[in-house]
Amino acid sequence: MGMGKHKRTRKRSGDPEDVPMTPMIDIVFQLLVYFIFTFDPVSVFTQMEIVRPSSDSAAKSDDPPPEMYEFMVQPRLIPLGVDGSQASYSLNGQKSINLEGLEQLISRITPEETITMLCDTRSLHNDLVAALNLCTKHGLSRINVLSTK
Amino acid sequence: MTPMIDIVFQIIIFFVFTVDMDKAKFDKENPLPLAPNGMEVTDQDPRTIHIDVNKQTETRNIVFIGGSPVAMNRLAGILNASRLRHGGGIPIVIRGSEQLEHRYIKAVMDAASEAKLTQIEIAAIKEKV
Repeated sequence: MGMGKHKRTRKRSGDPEDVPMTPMIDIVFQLLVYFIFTFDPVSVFTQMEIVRPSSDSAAKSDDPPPEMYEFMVQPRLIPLGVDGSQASYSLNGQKSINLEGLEQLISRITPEETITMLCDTRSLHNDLVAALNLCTKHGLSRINVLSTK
Repeated sequence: MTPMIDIVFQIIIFFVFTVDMDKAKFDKENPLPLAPNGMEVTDQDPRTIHIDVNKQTETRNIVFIGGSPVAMNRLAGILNASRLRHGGGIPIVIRGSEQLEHRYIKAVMDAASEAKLTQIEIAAIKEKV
């Protein structure tokens, strides 16, 4: 019958025993091994080294170096998450600047110079990290972090 | 075939779990601050102490070391004990939540200074996940 004939032809070409499994498994294993060895999870974490000057070492140096950058991390006027909230900084006690203003100042500092980040106790941790991020961006690594009383 | 498929499944399960481990460090409630320009962490000292400072710190004054809660006033003592046991120069990584006020970070840094551990690092993430 026509039906039977059709079945037979299908069986001949699509028989699972016709497909050689071993080379395929070989390749799959090769691929697996390749991906295991090339798997390099990109770390999204970063750690920024800071220096916390001790109170006695600060007391020893009576005269500060001629060019001293002391950035103050100020508390936000508008709380985080509310519209218009932005980080606020100031350099050597001058007028407040935002993050863009801070970057402008930081970009002019050379890597040999030391920066002090003076954090207000009520300032946000996020704003300190944002400032440290800018320092790293401009290749500055000598960063002291101080806190107000 | 069956034992081979068994092994392949074992390998897949292994990778699924090890990949997820890194994600488990992300705490949606206490996101770390963003620092896209921060350097990637390489060759970490095995003695490194990670201290988590999060929202709970605000209300209950406790920090977490390796997921275990530690009262803020006991932190310096614990760090000092670590220093005596494992030697000085143990790096401290502070994983502070972005919305925290600096005084909680300061308390942890002060405890580290009190324990004579001066190598302090601030943890952040390079991109939002």
